[in-house]
Amino acid sequence: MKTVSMVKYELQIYFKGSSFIMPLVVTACYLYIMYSMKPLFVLSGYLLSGIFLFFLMVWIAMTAVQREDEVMEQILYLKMNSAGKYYLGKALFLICIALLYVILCIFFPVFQNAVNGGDMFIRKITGADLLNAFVILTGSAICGSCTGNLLHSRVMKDRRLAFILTVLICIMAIVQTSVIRKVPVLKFIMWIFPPVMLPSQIYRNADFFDVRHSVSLFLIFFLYALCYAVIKSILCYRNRF
Amino acid sequence: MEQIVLKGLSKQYNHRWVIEDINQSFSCNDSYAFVGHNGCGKSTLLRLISGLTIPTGGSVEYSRLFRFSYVPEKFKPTALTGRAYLKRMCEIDRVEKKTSDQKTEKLAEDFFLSEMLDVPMKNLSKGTLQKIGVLQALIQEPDILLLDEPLSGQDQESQKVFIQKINALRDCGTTIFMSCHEKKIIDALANRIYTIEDKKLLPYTDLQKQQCTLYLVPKEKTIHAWENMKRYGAGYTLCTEEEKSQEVIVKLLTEGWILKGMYDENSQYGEI
Repeated sequence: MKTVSMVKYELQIYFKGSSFIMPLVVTACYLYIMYSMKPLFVLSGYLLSGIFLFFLMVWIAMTAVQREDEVMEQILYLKMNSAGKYYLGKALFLICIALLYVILCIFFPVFQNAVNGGDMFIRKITGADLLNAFVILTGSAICGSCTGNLLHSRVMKDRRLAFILTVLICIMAIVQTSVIRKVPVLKFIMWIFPPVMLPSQIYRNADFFDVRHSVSLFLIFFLYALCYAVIKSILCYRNRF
Repeated sequence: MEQIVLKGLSKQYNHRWVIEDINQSFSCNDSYAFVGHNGCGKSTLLRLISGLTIPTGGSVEYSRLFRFSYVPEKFKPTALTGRAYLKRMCEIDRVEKKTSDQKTEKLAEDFFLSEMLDVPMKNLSKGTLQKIGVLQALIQEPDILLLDEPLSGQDQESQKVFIQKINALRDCGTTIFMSCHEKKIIDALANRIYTIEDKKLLPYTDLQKQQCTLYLVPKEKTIHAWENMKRYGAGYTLCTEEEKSQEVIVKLLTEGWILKGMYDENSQYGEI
């Protein structure tokens, strides 16, 4: 219950401030550009949105860390009376933001399709498409939020270095497939980076989603997110204020 | 007996030891003040006691899980109004919805803050903001209350209310730890006073004799000033030990001086 109250508090602060405006504008621009042409493939549209959401959430999580004030966090930390609940609250806050953008990215094409006479896509969007897209996009967005939050200000005090390293992680996440293809031995290192391109690989030539693949993808993303969140929470707990 | 025990507690920042090997136990239901010059480690000790900061060496042991509240030295504004912020803090503190509004209103009224509750916190003055910082800590009775220079920028009336509220909490069994420079606040709130000297926590003994300053004006121009008097406006000031002040005043009055005022040298505020 305390955690839910904390999430409400974080959300209220987030939406009262101005830091939500730029990500929202960028998302609006992305969606408008992405769905202004036709005909489109249903899968590729959603899979691209998954990649977009990953990077968007990295950005949002990083700005959320920068927005934190140490004194206010100390007050909140003591009020929560449990480090676990405090860090869970922080993670859930980002998950809530992620879900809002996921919903936006899933329903915008449906709306756009309806407005444009229903011929935007090469085939009809089904309920199964929406459900599968929701699962994959949610996984990708949560993974992005945990990646952006990994190098928290209490984990890495040098914010410039933290920013550079996060960008590097994102770049490695994009190029890891091609790098592994050229230098296979690197797969033993590359697995530490989030598999943001994995959905595109799995659904490379597919026209329809497969529930098993989608659930597997969600679990993989969730596992990465969980690992990053646990590592970040342990390091933050060890450093504290 | 409930207590907090510091065992060999040490803290280092940037290769500099702030406190080193402190062994001390604090009984609950008491109030403690830490005094000392700026940067001696008072705030660090408060944070170590509450577990906000992790020690470089040693440990802090609690006889049970305590609920802490914290009034920071500099309370920072959020994008919310004072009322919205306090409402959220009530929720986190598990104050019942029915009573949270009443509690907030009552505390705001006591601290002369009622009209400011609906103003966004970023538009509030430093003193008013600090009051919000005090209110969030008083909303729910904590087991342990940490006060880090709690009254910076607050008006005299609010200070009085603050002292009353904290003493009421003490009566209800809340343990107080505070870091403070102001003698008036320490006198009003603390039972035991410690200082941090050479990275060690020591019981504070006021080695300096209490000094007071007299503000004097001569009745006639022919009266000569004493050697240790200093020019001050139309008159002079004379610094003397408080113990000897009675006889000094009698002597001055006999010589024809008019005593215009008397100030406690050790207090920022104290006109005695």
